[in-house]
Amino acid sequence: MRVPVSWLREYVSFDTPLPELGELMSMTGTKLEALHRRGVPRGLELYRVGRVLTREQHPNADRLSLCTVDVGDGDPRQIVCGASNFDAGATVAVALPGAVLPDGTELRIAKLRGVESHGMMLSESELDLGQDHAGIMLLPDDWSVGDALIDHLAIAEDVLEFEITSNRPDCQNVYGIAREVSAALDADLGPWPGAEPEATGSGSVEDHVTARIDAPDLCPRWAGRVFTGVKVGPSPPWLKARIAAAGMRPISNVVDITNYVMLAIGEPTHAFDLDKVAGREIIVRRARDSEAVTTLDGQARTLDTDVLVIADAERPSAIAGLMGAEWSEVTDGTTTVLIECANFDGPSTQRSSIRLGLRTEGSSRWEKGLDPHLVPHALALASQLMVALTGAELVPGTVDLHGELPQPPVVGLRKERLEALIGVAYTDREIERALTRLGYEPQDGRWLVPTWRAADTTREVDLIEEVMRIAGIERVPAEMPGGHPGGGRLGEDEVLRRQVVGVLRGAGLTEAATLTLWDAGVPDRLRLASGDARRDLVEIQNPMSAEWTAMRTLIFPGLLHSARTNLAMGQAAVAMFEVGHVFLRSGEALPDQPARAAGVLAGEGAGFFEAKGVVEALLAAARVETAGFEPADEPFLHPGRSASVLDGFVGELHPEVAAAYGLEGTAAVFELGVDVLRGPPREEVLYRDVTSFPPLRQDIAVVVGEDVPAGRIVEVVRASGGAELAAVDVFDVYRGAPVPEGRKSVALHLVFQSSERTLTDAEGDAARERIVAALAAELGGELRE
Amino acid sequence: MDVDALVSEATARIEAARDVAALEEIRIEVLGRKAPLVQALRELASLPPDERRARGDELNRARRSLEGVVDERARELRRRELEERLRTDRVDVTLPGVRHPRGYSHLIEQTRRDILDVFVGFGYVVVDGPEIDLVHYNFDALNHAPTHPSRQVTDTFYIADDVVLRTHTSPVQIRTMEAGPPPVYMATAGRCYRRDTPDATHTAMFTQIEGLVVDRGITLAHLKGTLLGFARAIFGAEREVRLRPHFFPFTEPSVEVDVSCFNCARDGSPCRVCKGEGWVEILGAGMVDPNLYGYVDGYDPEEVSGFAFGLGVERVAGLRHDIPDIRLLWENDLRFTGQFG
Repeated sequence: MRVPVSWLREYVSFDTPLPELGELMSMTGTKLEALHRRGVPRGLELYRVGRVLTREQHPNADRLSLCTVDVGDGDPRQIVCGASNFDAGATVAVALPGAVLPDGTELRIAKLRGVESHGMMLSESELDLGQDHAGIMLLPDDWSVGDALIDHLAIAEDVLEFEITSNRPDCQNVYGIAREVSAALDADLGPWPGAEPEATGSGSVEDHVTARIDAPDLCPRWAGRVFTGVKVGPSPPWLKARIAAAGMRPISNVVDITNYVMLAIGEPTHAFDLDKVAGREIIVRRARDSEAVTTLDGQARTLDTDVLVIADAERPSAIAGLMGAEWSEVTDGTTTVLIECANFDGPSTQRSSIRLGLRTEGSSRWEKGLDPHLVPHALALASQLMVALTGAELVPGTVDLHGELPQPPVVGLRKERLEALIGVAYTDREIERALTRLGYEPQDGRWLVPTWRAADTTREVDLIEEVMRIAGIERVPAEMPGGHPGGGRLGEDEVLRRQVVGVLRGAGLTEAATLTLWDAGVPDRLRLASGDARRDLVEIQNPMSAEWTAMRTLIFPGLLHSARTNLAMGQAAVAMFEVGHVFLRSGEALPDQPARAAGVLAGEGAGFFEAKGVVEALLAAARVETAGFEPADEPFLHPGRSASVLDGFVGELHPEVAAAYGLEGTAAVFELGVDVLRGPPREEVLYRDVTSFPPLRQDIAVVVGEDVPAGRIVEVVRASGGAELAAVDVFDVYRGAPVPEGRKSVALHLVFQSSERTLTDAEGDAARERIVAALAAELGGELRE
Repeated sequence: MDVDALVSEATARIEAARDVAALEEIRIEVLGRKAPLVQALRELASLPPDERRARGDELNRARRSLEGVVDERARELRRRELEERLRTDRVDVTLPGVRHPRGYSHLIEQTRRDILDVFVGFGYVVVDGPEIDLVHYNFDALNHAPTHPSRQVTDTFYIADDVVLRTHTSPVQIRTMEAGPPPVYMATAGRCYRRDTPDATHTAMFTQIEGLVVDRGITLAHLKGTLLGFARAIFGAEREVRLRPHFFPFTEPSVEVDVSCFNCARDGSPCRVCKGEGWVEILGAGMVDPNLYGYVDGYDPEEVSGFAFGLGVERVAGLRHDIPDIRLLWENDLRFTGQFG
């Protein structure tokens, strides 16, 4: 919200310097976003009210005139002027040499076609007061020649720009801001702007217009007044200046008045050319399905039954709260004007605004919900200005249709509750001052909420906030609460996450953060078969782009992108991982969202066993000792160089998948659920004696068929080794003479240990014989001596 | 045989031995089986008994003397050889060591940890929450009006009419209160999603940290103290915080929180971080709106009160490490990550 300071001062007076005021407003809840200076940047004394004494043709130029202009110092200036909309005697705005114009140009004594010009007569646009640059500005003749222009006209204006939070539509206007200033500074707030003019028009309003509301749910109140003898023309300079300083464009006196009312007190109003309203009848109704209207901006729009319109007997003349129809627009020839001051439902206006892609100054106020009790204030201010500025006569009477209007709540405030929630002691006087400055009225020990805050203040805690912010949030001290009686802790999920991240970093992988969102092509790039649950993506109904349409079901594909870009940037080897969530349809409203850990190794030194080593490190850290690796059947992995393990997999990428992700050379990936890495709870890990009795170590080499996996040998050894077999490790695989063709020799370390006694060599030999026998019986293995 | 002459000549030779091998040759010559001294000892038996004793003593003394000299010389030579070896066996210590693979942690993860650790120290328990959540938890139970703009399909990713990609970590507030009675000291971190067009300070996916405290006697002053502690832990011990009244649907009163600028103090030039204001906005917070307690059991706003706060991990990381564009955090360029891990 842009608030011209001279306008603000009309409602509340203050001496506080603007930066300080801005700070104070920020600290009471209305954040100052910027402090602008509009118009003439400096040297205001060089701008004067002047009077044209003579006007003659420039001797050397058809389109220029040569004038003498009195600027009040007894030394009339010779000024060359290009405009033609004035004669001698006109009161004009003059800038003298040295003046700096709003656009930064410095004015000098200039020679125009051989004649010196000692100043400039100004147009509106040169002063940044409006769009009109066709001619110079003609000022009222009762302004004294020689006066500083700034005393009459806001040719320089400081503008405070505030951020207004969505709960405070009452602050989207100058008077509302003035109320906050009055509370922040503890200064008096002036009365509501607007004084009812005398209704001098003929007849009464009912003679001119009839109105009815067919959709009271969307329009709780509709009021209108009729003005006759309206002369549409440009607004006076002061009005243009205010409209422009507040960030809007001056258009004509009637339109500017409606905007002024909105900017001054927050009620968007609309002006209709009543002579164009068919049957002089106003019907506030829902639009018909597919009903068409061309709005003031020239856009043809198709409506539906959720859109509220202001219609005449035949067709919509405005989309309620958004914009008028082109055909009912007030134009230069308009003489009879209907001013609408209504109250429209916020949510429905917002829906229409979004549906039609039409957001206006009006809709941005309506959508937050406005006070229906603003209507009389808006009528008074609009009427006063219409009569004063357009020469109109107000027709007696007001059309004002509404049902029972909501009455604002009365809310109690306990001082002890206030102090208990904020942690600050307040005096009764402070509480009263804060609330009354904001418009609350005491009522039987409670507080009557002002109508413009009725939606926002309904509970004690809302009053607590008001007192806190106005009495000064700086007073709140900094204290520490006690913390959880059970003590702070990371919690299971975070502990597990950190363990997994730590192991992977220790294994030389760098952490990545990749997108959780996939494009629709990922399942095909991964060669996922139809029916694979990981194809059944959780899709986004309203994606922002075709690249992000669904949630990932696997983590590693995102890492493939990172691997490729890093290799492309010259990294010789890439080892990256991510711990995050995947999203799998569950049949419930919410998908399953398990945490998984995934990694990629690409470039130098990337292969199945390198990746498997990383997975083994994870398993070892989690004390998962029995996880078996089986050949995997994952469509995205190399069928001969991949394994499944627990709820995941490890392996080299399928060459087609690698190609689809632009990866050359071998790349290996792994991915598994974080939950399976949880391991036994720490309190269940109990002491075992591993130091009192020495272990007995034996190595064996067994020759088996080429098709027997090493893992199977280990299984047989474990099963047959007896209770004292503490560890089995494969340490070598040998093929070649003297091992026969089609067979291989697998060498294993065996460790036997008892926690009760020192094992004898004889016991070790006996166990070894059992193992050898089992390997022979089950796998056709022969001991290699 | 002149034993004394033999000993003095042999001693001179031993002491002159240049290395262990030469010494060994000399030892064999003077003390080996064929050495005259040893031969003479062997021949003692052939001497008459009255000479045998004196001659034996003389020869044994000579042998022990020579053995002593050999040992001494051997030690000396070994010591010299070791010294020589240590003197010549040198490496270029400026050559690189044998490399072990090193992984780096991502800056988002680091920052997230640093922040969570602060709150663990303050007595909070860290929990996790779902990234896809019900509208009930993301909006309804957080007191968002049915028409609240952030519910719009232009702002929020919808999976179904009642399911969204969470737009903040605040749903975990309700889930935590549902899970058990007060007191609650909860912190959570995780990914959130908004339909923001990416720019230097926004990404459609981002990481948030949320805190919730509900206990007897919790005040706005407690919120301020907590955030002051957080700001000092993360941005430096000199920091101050300032609360500014603001509006959020799920807190009342609500505040925005500024931390005193940490950049100005660094170099004194016109500050690009705080734009000369001296304060940098870092998070939103407030006292838990009593309406929230109506969505869970066991929380009576007359008995307990609470505060909540939420902050962007990427923003904190960006401010701490002077990163001009938070999109860099999501590019996974190892050259970038390696600067921080």
